[in-house]
Amino acid sequence: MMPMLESVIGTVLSSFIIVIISTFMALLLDFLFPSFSRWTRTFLFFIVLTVVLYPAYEHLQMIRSITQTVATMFISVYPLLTASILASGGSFSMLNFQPAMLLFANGAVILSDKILIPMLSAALLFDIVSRFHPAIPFTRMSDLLRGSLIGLVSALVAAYSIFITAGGTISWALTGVTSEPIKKLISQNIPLVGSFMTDSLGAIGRYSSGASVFIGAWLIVTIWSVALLPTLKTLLTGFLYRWTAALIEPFANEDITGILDDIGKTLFVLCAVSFLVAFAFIYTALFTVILVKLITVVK
Amino acid sequence: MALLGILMVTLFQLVVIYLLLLIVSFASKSLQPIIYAAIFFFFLSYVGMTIIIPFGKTFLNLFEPLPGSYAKLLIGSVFLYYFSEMIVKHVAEAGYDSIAEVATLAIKIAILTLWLPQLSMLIETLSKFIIK
Repeated sequence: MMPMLESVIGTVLSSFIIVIISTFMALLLDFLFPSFSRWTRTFLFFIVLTVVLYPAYEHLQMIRSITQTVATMFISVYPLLTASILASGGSFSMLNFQPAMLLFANGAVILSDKILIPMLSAALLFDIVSRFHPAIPFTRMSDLLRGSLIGLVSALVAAYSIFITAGGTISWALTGVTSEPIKKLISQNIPLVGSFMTDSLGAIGRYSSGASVFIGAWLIVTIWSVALLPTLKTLLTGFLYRWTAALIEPFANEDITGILDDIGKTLFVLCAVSFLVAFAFIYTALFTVILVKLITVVK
Repeated sequence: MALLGILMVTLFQLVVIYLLLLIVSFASKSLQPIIYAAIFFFFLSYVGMTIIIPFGKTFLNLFEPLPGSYAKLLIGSVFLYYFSEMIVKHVAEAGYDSIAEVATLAIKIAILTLWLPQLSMLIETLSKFIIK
């Protein structure tokens, strides 16, 4: 956990420090040459854009490559899994597994690869254009894109959780009185995607606690952390964008803090998308592990 | 009470200077710029000595508890900028705008040079976070 934190904070924080220093530089230049301030603002905008866009773009790329990997995994594993379900017969009745669910997860991953991530890049582009040229604003467009993305993703996850609960698996061990305040805290403090995250976490949790009877708890923890690591990274980066915007607000131009805020918002949505992928990954991984265990036990 | 006396005297001087300048503009049009400049500098130095600089000192004492030399730097640079602005304005009024512009830039750079140690400290602290 710590090396991950350090690497994220290291790469992202240094670019934000560069933003802060260049803002100071622009401030001094404005003091010395007030008549040049319009151009100073433009050049500062360019500097900030080149420095700040890189981590966001890197995250988009990362989530995209993960999505593609998961999609290939699905395509290769799906026929195998269905075949072995058919072969093993009755032993799956106690697992309340629906093959349709797997297809569903596969579809979601392909959807996020083909539609969600390009839409997100378009939203980012619209934000930049409307900040750079306020006369032609596309803010509503990018908000619409982000809003519909969030709607799509949360609908998908809701469908997942309906599938899982319809199976009647054992409820999540954490959904007791103790976890309610934590869930409340998460859903209130992470902007845009907070409540969605707690809901879907509960859904995954419900499934994996049912599965933990068959596979060890440590394996579930491993699968969880592997799947959720990119999501956590993206979430942390999004928060760093918003923190920087809050930090430089007193002495920076409004459009620079605005662009940082916008990129942060987009990253939160990206975090939701990667959550969807992680969800699908966890489901498939758990299922594969259970299948392997069952086959070995039956033999 | 003393401050009120100084203020009254300054006001009276202002009226006298105004009348004097009016008379000069009647008596000799060609001598007026140089007399105006001389009276301006006299008046500026008088007001500076009796009001502005003493007030600056009390202002400094007021913000003594601030750490470091920030209060001194800030108040000093403000007064420096104000005096330079006064003189630059006077030069510009005489019709030498471009000279005034250059002088303003020079004063601004001088003020920035005063702040340079603090600024470099700040940038050094910030750049420690940059991982190359």
